[in-house]
Amino acid sequence: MKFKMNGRVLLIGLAFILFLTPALSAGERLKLSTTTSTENSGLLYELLPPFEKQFNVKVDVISVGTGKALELGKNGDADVVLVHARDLEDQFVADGYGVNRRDVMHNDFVIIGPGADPAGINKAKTAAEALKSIAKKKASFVSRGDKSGTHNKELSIWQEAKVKPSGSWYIESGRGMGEVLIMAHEKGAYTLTDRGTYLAFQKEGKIDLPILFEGDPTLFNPYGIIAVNPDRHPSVNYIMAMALIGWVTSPEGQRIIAVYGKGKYGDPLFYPDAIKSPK
Amino acid sequence: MEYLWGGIREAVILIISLDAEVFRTVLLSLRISLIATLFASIVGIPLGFLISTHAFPLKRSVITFFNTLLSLPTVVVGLFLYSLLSKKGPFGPLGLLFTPTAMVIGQFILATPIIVALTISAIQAMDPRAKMTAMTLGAGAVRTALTVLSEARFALTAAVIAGFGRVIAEVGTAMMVGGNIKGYTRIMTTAIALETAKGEFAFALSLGFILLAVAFAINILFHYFQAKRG
Amino acid sequence: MDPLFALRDITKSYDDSTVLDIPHLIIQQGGIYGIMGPNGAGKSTLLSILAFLLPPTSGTIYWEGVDVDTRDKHQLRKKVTLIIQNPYLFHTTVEKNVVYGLKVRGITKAKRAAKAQACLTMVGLSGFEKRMAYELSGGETQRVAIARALALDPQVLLLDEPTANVDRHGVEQLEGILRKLNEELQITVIVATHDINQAYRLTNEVIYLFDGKIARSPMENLFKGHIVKKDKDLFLFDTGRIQIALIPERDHVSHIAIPPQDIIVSIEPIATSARNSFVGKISQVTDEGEAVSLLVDIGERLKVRITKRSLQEMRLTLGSPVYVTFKSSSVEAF
Repeated sequence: MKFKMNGRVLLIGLAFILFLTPALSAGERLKLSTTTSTENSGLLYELLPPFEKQFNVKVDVISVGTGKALELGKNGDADVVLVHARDLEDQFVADGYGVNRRDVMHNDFVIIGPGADPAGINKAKTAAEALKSIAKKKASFVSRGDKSGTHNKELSIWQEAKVKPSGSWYIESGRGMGEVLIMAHEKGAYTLTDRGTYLAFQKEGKIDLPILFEGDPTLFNPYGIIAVNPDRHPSVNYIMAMALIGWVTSPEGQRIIAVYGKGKYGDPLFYPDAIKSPK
Repeated sequence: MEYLWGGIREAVILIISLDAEVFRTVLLSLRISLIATLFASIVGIPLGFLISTHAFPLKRSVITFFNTLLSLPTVVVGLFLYSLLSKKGPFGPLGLLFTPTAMVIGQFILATPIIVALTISAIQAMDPRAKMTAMTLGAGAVRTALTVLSEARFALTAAVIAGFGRVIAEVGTAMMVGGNIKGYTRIMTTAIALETAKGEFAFALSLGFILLAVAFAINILFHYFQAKRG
Repeated sequence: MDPLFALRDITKSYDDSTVLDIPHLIIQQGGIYGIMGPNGAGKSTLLSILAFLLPPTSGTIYWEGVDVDTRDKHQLRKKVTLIIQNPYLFHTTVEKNVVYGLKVRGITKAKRAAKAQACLTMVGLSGFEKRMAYELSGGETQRVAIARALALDPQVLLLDEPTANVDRHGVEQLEGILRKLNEELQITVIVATHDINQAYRLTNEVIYLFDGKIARSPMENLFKGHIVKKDKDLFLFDTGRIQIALIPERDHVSHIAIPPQDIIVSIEPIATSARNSFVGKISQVTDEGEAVSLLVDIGERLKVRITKRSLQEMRLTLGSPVYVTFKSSSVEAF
């Protein structure tokens, strides 16, 4: 008897859950693969909704490391790719996986670290010099270690410094930008990070590390958006991918990018590249 | 400790204020897992019943097979399913990767062996007189089977709950085939993983509390029904 | 009229062992039969065969004169219901248990409810409809099982050790119900039991099974009757023709048996403390090898045994008058 009572209540509750939540699939969808740092910055949740409304489409943002994001494009599992790794992007297009690459925006990388700055990098003239000092001092440094855009940038600077980083001070975490920032904060270590994620985390009080080196042009971090080649994967949503590329490089889209973060952090997180001064 | 307490406080506020993001995530989790468990039951219970009531060559091996599937690592299922659903893979054209449907499929794969294995043990533990009594009273094969299943209903309910418990709490498969897309395939477990990585401790904690509550409820229900089988 | 069951040359074997070997057995419509025997004698096997649940290894069963091999067993099973020693009740209410067979047959809900009420009343459990089956006592469980069988209007009810798990009060109650079913509903009842007293109390014919075979009655000098006089320490049992003194251990006695070996035969009355002494004429003499059995007519026919030598010494023949004497304590009562 009791089972019957409870059973009925349970079934009604389950039916409630099953039917009252919105439908699982609705309308057209566009799969955008991008990096974790891009998603973490929150820009996409400002940039995409007007596009979704105008074109009546839902954009599925799949955020993974740069390598994985491009691979999703190669396999046709994503329709459009937004990453910040110029060399890899060019290769992607050259190999025929992507078409119509556009510059979208850039932010820059900064090197953050413990306030005491044991390696004295704030005196460095170039990024390469800064990293060289860190290696010399064997000060703790957390690396992305995940083939991401940030990681590639870091590796290219080590190369320029002619240093091969290894040892217990060099921590290859294999994690996303946010996790690396927290790790650096916890360990009082240096790390290379994009300004956007850094500002977000710093302002929200998740970490507390000062910027110790910035401004070197080699630290600039340009973002490109690429449509997956429909010749390779006929089933990708090419037209909508092109629409998205159109949107992010349009005056309206670029304006959204230009002002993003100003209200919250004082400075914008990104600088538009398609239209330098959008109105 | 302050960090932890602050997080807990904020998490409770999120829950009490019925924060939209939190509850959307919870409802999506429940929805996907309920549907997956439902299908797993529809397939698993009859399958378990048939296996336990029929003699066939390699019966022992089949039962062992299902028992082994109980401890399938979820990331392995995720990886396997991913390779099938990717555009590169055989089912690519279906476009199922990074959709809730893919997650339902993945959780179905995880839940079914549990339900099959527990159904087999439930039926085997059944009083053999039940079947005989039904037959002496004139029940045909189908009616007898339904009667036996009904007699085992408490143990079978426990089996279904166990299946649900396994999938509501898994992250490996959901992450790999779902893609953790906000508002679409982001469920409690994958959201916790993501939000913690982003340092959104309070949000992750609030989801964590809810998930814990769900896990407790499941456990209590499971034991309630297991106990009643006697 | 054809008997209900006629078994001819029925055997049942498993691998190399034969558990049942019955050349001939008749069950008449409307009787209450007891199948008596020790555990392992084959009672349950015989019941299963009679219920058409178990096919015999060889032999023929005739139901109402017709060879059952020519008939649909499924139909026959509907007329004969077997209730096992520990009946299984479904995990639901008493009423739902009772109507299970009716539901299988598609009987409407209203008719089911009415039938359930009637059957439960028949077994003395009216009002028990909504009780949960697993809450019942051993005796109540048996009665629900009987009610469940009754709902299907069986012609024959077979019961395997129905009172094995029942307390004394419950035993009387159950036996009363079985008798009522037989008398009021004309159901043929066949009860397997190892309790000899029960067999005699309840049934009007007892089939003895020993090692799978039908055996001779171990009970000799078996008489039906009732107690007519009750003294403090002595009762008189009246068979209708003679009265026998006995020391009973129970109030309700329906049968007595007197072991032949306790009866002394003499040609003169003996002065003895034994309370039972009768005179009669020898109506039958049977040679049993070592001994001779005599049937002495004292109003009832009493079987006695003496050695061949005694027969000669006392010069006893057919028609000879003899005295038979036995103690009241020798009389077995049930």
